[in-house]
Amino acid sequence: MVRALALFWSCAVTLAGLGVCWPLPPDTFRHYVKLQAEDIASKIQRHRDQQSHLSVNIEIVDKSLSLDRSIEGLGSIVETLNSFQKALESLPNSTNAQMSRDVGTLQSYLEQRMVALQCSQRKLTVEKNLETFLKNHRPFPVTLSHTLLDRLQKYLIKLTRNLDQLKIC
Amino acid sequence: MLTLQHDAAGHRTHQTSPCFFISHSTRSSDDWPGVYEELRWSGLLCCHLTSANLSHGEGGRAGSTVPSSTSISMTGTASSAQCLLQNSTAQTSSSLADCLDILCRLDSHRPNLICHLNHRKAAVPNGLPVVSMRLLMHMSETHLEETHLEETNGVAVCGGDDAVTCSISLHSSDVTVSLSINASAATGSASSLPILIATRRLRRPDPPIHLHYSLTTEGEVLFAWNSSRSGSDPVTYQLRYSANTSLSDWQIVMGIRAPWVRLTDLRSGVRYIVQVRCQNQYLPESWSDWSRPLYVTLDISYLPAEVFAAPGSAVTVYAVFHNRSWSADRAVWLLNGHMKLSQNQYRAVNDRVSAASVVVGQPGFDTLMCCQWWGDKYQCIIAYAKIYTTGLFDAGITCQTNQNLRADTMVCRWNKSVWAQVRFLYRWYDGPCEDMPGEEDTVSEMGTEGLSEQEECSEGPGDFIECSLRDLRLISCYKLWLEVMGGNGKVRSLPVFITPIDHVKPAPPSVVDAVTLSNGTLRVGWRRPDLPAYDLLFHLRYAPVRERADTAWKVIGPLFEPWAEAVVPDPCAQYRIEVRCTRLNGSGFWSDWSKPHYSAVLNSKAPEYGPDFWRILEEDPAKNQTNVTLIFKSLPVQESACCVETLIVQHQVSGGAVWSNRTALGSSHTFQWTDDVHTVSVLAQNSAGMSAKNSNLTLVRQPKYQYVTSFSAVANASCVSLSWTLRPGLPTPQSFVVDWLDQSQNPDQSGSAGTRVEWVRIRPTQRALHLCRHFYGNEEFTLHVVFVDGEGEPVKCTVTRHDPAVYILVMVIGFLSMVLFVTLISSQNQMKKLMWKDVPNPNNCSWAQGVDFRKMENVEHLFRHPEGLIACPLLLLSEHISEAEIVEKPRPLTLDKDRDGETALHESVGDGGKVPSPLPPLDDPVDAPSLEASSLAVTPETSGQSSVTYATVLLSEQPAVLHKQPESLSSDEGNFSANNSDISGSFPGGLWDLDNPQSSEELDLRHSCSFNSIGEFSDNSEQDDEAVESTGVAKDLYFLGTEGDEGDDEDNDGDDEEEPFRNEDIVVCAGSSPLLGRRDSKTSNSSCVSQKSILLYLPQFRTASCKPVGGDADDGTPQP
Repeated sequence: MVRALALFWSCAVTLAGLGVCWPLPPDTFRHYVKLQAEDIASKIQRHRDQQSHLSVNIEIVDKSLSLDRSIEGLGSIVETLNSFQKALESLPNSTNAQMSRDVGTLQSYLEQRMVALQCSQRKLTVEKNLETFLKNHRPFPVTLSHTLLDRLQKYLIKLTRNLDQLKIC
Repeated sequence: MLTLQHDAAGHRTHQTSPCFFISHSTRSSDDWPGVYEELRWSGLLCCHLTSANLSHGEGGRAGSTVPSSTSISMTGTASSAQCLLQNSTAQTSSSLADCLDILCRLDSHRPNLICHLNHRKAAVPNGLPVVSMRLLMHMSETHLEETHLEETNGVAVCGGDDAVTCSISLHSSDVTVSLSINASAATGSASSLPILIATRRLRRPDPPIHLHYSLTTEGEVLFAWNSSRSGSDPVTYQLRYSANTSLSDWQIVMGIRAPWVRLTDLRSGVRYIVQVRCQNQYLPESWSDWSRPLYVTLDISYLPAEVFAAPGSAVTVYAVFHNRSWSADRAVWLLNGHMKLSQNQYRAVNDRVSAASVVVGQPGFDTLMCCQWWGDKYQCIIAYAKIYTTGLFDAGITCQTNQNLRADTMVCRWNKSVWAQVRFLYRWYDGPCEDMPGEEDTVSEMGTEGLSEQEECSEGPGDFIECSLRDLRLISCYKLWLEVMGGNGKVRSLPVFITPIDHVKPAPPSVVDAVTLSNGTLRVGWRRPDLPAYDLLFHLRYAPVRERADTAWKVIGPLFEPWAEAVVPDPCAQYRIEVRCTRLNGSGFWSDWSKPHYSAVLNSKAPEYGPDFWRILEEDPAKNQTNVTLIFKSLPVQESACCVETLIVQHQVSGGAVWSNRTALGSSHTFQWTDDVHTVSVLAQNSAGMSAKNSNLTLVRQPKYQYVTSFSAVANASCVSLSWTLRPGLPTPQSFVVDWLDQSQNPDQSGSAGTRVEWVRIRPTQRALHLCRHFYGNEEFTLHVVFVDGEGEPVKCTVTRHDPAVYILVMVIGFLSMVLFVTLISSQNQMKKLMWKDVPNPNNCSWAQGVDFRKMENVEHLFRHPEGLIACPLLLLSEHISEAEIVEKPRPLTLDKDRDGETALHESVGDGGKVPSPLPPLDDPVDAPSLEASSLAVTPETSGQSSVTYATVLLSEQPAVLHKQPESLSSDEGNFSANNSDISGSFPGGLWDLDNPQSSEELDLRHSCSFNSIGEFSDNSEQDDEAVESTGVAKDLYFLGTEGDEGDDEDNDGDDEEEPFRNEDIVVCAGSSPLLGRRDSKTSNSSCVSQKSILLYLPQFRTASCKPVGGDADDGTPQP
């Protein structure tokens, strides 16, 4: 009887602890991240289809834009999204503003996950290089926006294919 | 006092030089716009204290030193001071002086000036003086501040015996502090002149700002910058740059005297960090910090990057390639990112520079991008050149006002280049637009009554294409325009003037109510929107719910009252109704259509009958259950005041459970049959109630009886006759039902089987059914016997009928084949006719103009070969001609016997046999005057290429020569037939015409054959074929000619021997040789006409239907 009670209480405490401390189930979290990433990527595609500023034959090449980063855990994802968000925010464009909000939402969502996983928090700053790049190219918002959205779309697609990285900090 | 003056070159020079000594070092300070730290100034102040009234005299000045650069000066006159500053490193020049070491520095943490005064004890005979020191600091310009331990009234006095420290807080970067020192001792006292310390000159300069770069068309990069406000008086700059971010490999450009420098060794495609710093003239050893880094990646630069041009002017933009992998030869210029400039619009200036020239058109904004062409892609960079075409461009601004109770808004939209970043600006005027002051008025009369200041859309600049204006003034006039912002200017759009009340889009009408009356009237009412307040007119549209609304709308309007009536064809149908409105008088927009409203059907009484229905059973063995689908017949026509809206299916099972389901009209109803006995009733219902007379159906698991003894079907093309017999002695059924699958519906698309089942209910007294409709021939008919309490055993009968369509198809194919065959034959003949008819009339030919064909010499002249050679055949080589000659000779045809072949030929013809074909050509001429007639037989081989075969037709009682033209009749020969009738009329002498009244005896001979016109020849070609097939020579084509001029014969060599025959020269050759040219009469039979070239384009042909030569030809009767 005593052993049964002990087992019961241990299970109860364990379950209670799980219920209090455990955030969203991993699958649910991944599902929402994937959903948001695909949603933003679709918006970018729709924006590109509807407001085609550039010929489809044009390829913008600018190696100084350092946004092609690898996905190595939540920290790197949050940092990259923060860079994208700040970059889009700096552009005078309503579409980009919506994209910036969407990216910011995803970034905040991931930051909450990092807190739940007790990941070490990094100070989010925009790289000096990126800041300078944005400043230098501010007079060309159309092509700059095109390039940023293109990079963001590719990054989000890459993110949806590497959802396992959401498990690690 | 030390003062600064500017020389002619603008450089500052020292007019006087106090004897100061300063030393300095640097350290940064964060809270002050200069760098003060450890900038030290030190001096040695020596005072003569031996006499209270000792004057400074000349000795002080004599011992002074003059630093080249100083921030310290003394005020007042030297004669009034007893203390003099000396170089701290210099020894005092007077042994009588007491000297004080002065050290002033700028605080590193606070912007404070701190001075220390220490007594340097000297060997003074009269003992040590008592020193008191007083600091007075004087701020530059209007600021005066004193600080001291005993700070009073702006004067700070710091006292002490041998050492005093005093500090003052600096409130500005450019401060002059006045320092005066009093020294007193027992032997006396002395005071210094005020020492002014300018802090501006004590600190390091700030780094330059606004570092930027520009380019030249030669590809050089110019870096330029500005001096900071606090970093005044810079004299020298240094610039450093690095190709990476490690900051370990800096390239430094030193000795820059101007605020710019040109670099030529930057590599393209490399990201550089560039910084610059400076130093001023006062602190030559103190450099400023490096400026903020400038990151430069040189790919493509545009010169100019921004152009403002007038419409119609030419603009040239240069693109400088810094990336050496890019070449101006591979440059491609794109206008507005889409339109590729033609190659004549741009050129390569050199390997690294490409220039494009465009003529700008309408006012507006355009961009030019210079890219590199790589395969099918254009590689570009982010930067592009901007072209602003000055003037007012048409932005197509339109606005729409939306009113609601909370706020009125006006949404304005415009068109613009997707590349343009615009500002949407507006002003409003409280008055009509006609009275709104113009631009010149607003400039000159700022503050015009009722005219607002310029305002901007709250969204700010961007690439927006619409803006919503709030706080709207409905009856004010708004002036709206766009501005495209550039770095050096702007381009504006044409302004539009809009009064919001005239652009209102009302809300759609609401509270729509509609009813379909029993008399077929649809009555609709609605409520107009509250705003706008002006009168409205309406449009009403409606469509039956059962139909697709987007294709069956009927629109009524304009309507001036908020109700309407319409006559509808079906009073029982429900209609979807929508209403919209617009301004009655004046401009405005149509509202959206209201939300759809569905009309009610007005019924005064309930339906009388329920629908007749039948069931379809679908067994599901897996689940051991049966699905029953009820299919309904159309309801009988009820009274006009009674419409059926829905059907109620009532169920009752053997267990006693009763329930009902509602189902829509026109659909089927499916339920699961689980009990042994299941009775179903279907009721019709409307707003007045349900039907009282309804049909029932009882489903039982086991059929009651084997009731039908026989069930047969007979089918014909479109009908099926079913008949059956019943087992005698059994109760009378309630009805019979015959059902079958409608095979016209695709089972994959028609959904459930219920939609494919056709059924007919038959009265119980009937024993046969005659169905006429489209059947496919494989229908399986099932006869159900229906009782009140169940069903009998169903019987099936399959009607197999061969599809008559197959037979019809075969017949159609056969018929088409025949038609095709006939058409081919007809077309073949038609081709022949066309071919012949298309041959031109020689009189219409250029070469024949002016030639009188009635004169033989002319004809001969036309076709005489200039060199006397045989002319080339005029017909194609492939054409095949045989000829028949009718030769009348005055002597026996002995010469022919010399040729075996020909002899044989003659014999065969003479025997009255058929004309052989083909025949070998006869090369020898005929000696005697001969009459040649040709018979043309159209063979299948000749149908297409007018390969004409002539057969020689020998007159009876005379030898004849048959000719078979081997080949090569000119196509011109067709002219004969094509224009036969015309020519024959105009050239009777050249034609042996049947109608010629001047017929000679020879003519009579020729008349031994019948002649047809050429047209007949063509038309009867088929008949000819048949004739050839049957008789060998059915219709002979006679090619007749005469020799006209004997003189011509004399000209012919070798024809002399045949001269006697020429007198009777009636021989005309139809062979190719006469047509094609001249042939030696001795060697060619056709030479008899070769010289005459008889009527190359004359109607020499005649067709004659002849019997074999040796036969009926003798009688001279023309054959038809």
